[in-house]
Amino acid sequence: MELLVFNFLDGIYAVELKKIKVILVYSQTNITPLYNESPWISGLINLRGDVAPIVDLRIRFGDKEPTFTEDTVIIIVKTNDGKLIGMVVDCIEAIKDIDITYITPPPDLGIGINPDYITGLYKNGINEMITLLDVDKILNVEEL
Amino acid sequence: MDDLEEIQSYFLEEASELFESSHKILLEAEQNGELISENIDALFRNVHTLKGGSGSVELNYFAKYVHYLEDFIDNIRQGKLTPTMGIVDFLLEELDILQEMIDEEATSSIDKDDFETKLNKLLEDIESYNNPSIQEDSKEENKQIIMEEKLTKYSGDFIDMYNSVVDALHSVEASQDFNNEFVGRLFRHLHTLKGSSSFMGLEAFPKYLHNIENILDQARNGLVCYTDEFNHALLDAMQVSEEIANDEFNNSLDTEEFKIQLTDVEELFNSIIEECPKEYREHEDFIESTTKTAKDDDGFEIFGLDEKPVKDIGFEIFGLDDEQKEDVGFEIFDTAVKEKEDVGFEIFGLDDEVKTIEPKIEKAQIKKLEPKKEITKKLNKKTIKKSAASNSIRVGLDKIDFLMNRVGDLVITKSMLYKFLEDLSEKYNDPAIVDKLSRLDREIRELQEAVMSVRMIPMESVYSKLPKTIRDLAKKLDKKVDFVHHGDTVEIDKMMVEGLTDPLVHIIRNSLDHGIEKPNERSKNGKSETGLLTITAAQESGHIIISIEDDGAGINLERVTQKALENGVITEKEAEHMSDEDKAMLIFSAGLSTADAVSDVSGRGVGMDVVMNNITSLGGNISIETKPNKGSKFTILLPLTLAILDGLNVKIGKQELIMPLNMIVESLQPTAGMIKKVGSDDKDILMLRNEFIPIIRLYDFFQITPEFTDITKGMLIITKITNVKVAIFVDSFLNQEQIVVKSLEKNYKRIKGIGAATIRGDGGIGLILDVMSIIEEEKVKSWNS
Repeated sequence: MELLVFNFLDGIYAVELKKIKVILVYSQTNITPLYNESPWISGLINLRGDVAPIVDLRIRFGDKEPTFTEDTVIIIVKTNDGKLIGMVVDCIEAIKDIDITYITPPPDLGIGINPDYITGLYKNGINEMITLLDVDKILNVEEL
Repeated sequence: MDDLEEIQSYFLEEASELFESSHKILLEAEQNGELISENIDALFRNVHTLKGGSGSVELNYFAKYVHYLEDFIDNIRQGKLTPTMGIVDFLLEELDILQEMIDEEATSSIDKDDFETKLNKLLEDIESYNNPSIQEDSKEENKQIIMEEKLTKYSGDFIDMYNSVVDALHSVEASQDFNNEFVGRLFRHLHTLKGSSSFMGLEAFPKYLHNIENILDQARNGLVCYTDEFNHALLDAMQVSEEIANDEFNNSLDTEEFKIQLTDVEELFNSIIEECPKEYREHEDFIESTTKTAKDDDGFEIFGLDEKPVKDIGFEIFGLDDEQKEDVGFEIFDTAVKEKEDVGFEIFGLDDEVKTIEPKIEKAQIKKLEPKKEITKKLNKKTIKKSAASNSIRVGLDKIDFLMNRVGDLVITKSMLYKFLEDLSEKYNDPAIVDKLSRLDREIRELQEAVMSVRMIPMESVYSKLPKTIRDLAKKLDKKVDFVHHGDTVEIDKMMVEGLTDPLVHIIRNSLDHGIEKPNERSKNGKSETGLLTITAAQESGHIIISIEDDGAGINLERVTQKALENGVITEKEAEHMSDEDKAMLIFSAGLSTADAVSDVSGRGVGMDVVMNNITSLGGNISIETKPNKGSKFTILLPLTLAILDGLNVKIGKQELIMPLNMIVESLQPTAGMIKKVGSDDKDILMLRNEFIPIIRLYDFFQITPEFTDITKGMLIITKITNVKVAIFVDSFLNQEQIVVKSLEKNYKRIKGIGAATIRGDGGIGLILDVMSIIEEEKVKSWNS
């Protein structure tokens, strides 16, 4: 399974590569803000003629004042119900091909993110852990 | 102008009047289903005058042709021939030929050979009507002509519907997932196909489908199990049905063979049904429910009907525990494993059972349906598929969407270039650049309009199919109906049309079948014998509103409620608390029909279910008003997914929003004296002439920091929705522009106060205000305060 590995909130996260449609540089994207929506909704963008919402994952998972740099990117994923939604993360790290048999389910305690949003944990090298995000659950529009 | 020409022109004028009067007589006859003797006389006189007049002005060819026609009508007049509908159709066609001919001869452009062929054809036709043995053939031929017309008109839709049934069967053959939802969907497809085929004038084909539908209905209700074998049989039967349709279209249907085919299909299914043991059915239900819950997780799909062995246990647990996690803590692994084993065990047990059943089915004597293979005969025929290839092509909407978006990108790129070059030309000041740019601008605009227009079509194209449908149906049901439609020019998204036609036909069918009463019943109730069916389309506040109104008996709410109770759609308690409107809406529930007998018009309760499904999938809404003995009115509210909208840019603080122009009644900058306060000080009322209009501060609604909080400094936009006026306060107006509406729900969800979005010239998103929802929200707020 190929993963796109990225960083935010000082953690290493990943999403299955086949779910990703496009990656945009945050500083070069024109985002129109929305009102009366959840604080982690950055707004809407024009995605080749389609209107797509942008979710700031950092705010979504607790960072109240995230920083924006030239590395900040928007990862556009296509969810199972066919919606195109962007996620703001701190930076892209790598694309990694992994063996799925080494993925372990997340524990229920002692983890910063609701385990429902995680499909599994992957041990990378000696002392690195990659958290696999369940984007379909995180980006469920009814919960956004 | 010489004398003859002058007389000729007089005659031509007279002739056109005669044609008109004859047309009227024949169309009336077609509508009433009979040609009364009084009108035959009038028709004869018209034709006789045409003959005499044309002879005297030396239009000799025409006179000769009319002469034979006169003889023919004389025969009818003297009662030697009965004026059947076939003859009326024939005469209508002849009138067209005559009109063409007189024009040709008067302008001296008549082709002698062409005339001879036409005359010979006329003589042949007349001969066939006079000679009963040939008459039969000719009638058939006539029917075929009508059918061919319909065929070319509707065959595209028809083939689509047919394919959707066959595709569904094929895809399920691969997945082997015969769940209830699939059977229901298949049934609806088949039902729609049957219905529309009978409107196209086919008889044998819908009859055949009716048989298949009956069997499928049993499967749908769980009386028969849907096996792979069953699916195969359906596929075979569909293939036979295609042959029947082909034969029927080509008028070469062998009635004897058709009867055999009918019994064949019944026998085939009977043989399968008998082989279906009861316990199998129950297990199938079980498998269905397990596969359904397992669907969410890839790993779990290994269970179900799949015979793949379960190897990767770790992964399975992983798949399951997502569901379990919420209520259990550390015990999760135990439960998950236990759960999994239980499920696995049962299914494996079942697998064996399935295997023992299968050979039984194979052993059974199953009569395969053999599709006819008369290829040579087929080659000479015009098959359905061939005639569908007309002047137009069918293009997937996604392709048009793609094209739309690319043109949108082009517009944005152009405006970027424009801005860049504008800065440049300040430096160089070259008018040639500006000139070329404006040309590019114009061309892109035209391109955009052209692409847009591909999607938008007038309602007329929806309506055009209906009169015939209504006429045929009314005839079938022995009812009299007048059909009136309004709003022909209202433009509607092509995507809507495809989804809208079925619901409209279903509602009309329902109105005719259950709404409008038989003529004698109507006169008993003090209504005119002829019922009235009205369809109106209008574009209102960002929606397309289509209403279908009949003046029939209205919906029998008691009976609908009773049926709903019987079918378990609602409970007694629910029924007690339901309003009349809610009760009327029950007719959209699946499997509910108040008609006692199932006919091939309606009555299975599938139709209205389809209506609800289709309208909802278009993002629309439907409501019913009904009054006993006064009639029912169905109102369909559809969003304009891809409509062009005239919008006014309004500014609040630094934000720009778009107000749909059609919502705006007027706008003004109020003076202090016009603003009145009620209660707490942020509730204001505008006193405008004799009206008191509540004011909504848009910055408050969206929580934007405005430039002005003082109403007299900014602008008020007066909007009106169904007689309610509201003044909306903004900082200022900007420009007015045409925008393309983009759905927010496609990738996101509904947003309070924002109806849709658009792409701005700079590539950003513009938000379109949804005034209706803003007013609703404000209402709720003021109720709460």
